[in-house]
Amino acid sequence: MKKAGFVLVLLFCVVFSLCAEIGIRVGHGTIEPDFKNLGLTALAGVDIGLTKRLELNIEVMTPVVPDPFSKAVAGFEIGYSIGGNRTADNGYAGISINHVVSLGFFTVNLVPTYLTLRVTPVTVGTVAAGRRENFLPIGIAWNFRDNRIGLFMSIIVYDHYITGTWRDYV
Amino acid sequence: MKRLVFVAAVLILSFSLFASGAHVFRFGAGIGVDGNSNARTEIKLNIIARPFSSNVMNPFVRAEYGFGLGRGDFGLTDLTAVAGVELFRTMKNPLSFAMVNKGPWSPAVCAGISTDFNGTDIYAEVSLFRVLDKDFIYEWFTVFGVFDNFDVHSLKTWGVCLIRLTSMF
Repeated sequence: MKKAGFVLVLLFCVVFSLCAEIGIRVGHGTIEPDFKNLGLTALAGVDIGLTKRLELNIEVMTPVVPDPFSKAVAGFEIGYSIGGNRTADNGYAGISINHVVSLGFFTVNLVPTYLTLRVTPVTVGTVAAGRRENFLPIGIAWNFRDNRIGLFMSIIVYDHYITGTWRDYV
Repeated sequence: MKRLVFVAAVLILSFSLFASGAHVFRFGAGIGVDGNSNARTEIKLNIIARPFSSNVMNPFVRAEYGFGLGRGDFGLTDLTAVAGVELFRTMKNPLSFAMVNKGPWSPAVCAGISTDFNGTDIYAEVSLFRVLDKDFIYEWFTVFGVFDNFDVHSLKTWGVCLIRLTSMF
């Protein structure tokens, strides 16, 4: 257990030292039909920039109303900005209206369950601006345990960047 | 009771008229995502009229309608029509860390009716995490309740509006 914790911390240190920017991610997120009858579900996580186009999103989805935290779907997605660079050098902004394709892996209550593919048709905002809004990310989630296909979708997800923004250059 | 509500409404409107500033962006339309205790997730469109621009007790009216999913059914939501007030506006915004443009924090409360066209219930809402922009209203984690009548103990459903974005024009 200690070894696993050490490896995890080491992994985080390596990833965070390599990443270009870090943001907090909050919004709506659900995988149907597994979240069916669980009401409103929210998504929270971290958005880590790996390269100018690649990003790593570590996310947790859980019901908010009426039974908060009654289920947890957690995992990560690797996203690729297909519209252009999401960041540029020396504080210049990247493409402010973009599109993202993501591949992901998710667990349900810590049991590996999903492989996901989703598309965010429109993102508005940039890392340099400090915020990005992801509208209607939608895709499929393959439940490889039960061999079922689900719908992986969000209405809106906010990325609020902590590092890599204009604040770093003033 | 009716007289009291009427007098309160007239007072608020009169006060707002005197305290109001520039009259821009009176109307708006937006979208929200909420969930209620019936385990339904709902996406609602709204229209809002905010005729004044007072820094305190600024009144507005809003109507909301949309569609929801839950408990195996998919259908239209109840129609909600409310009147409310923005309690105050202050640039000492505890939510400014989440904003790119600095905007005032403006909590609001509102009450009105919620109807499925067969019956009518009382709707009440408290929006604490509410930030204004020049032509936008952002709201997060707005709490609402639907009551059978004016009795607090008659709570029928409750819920949280995860996010409501309203563009003013």
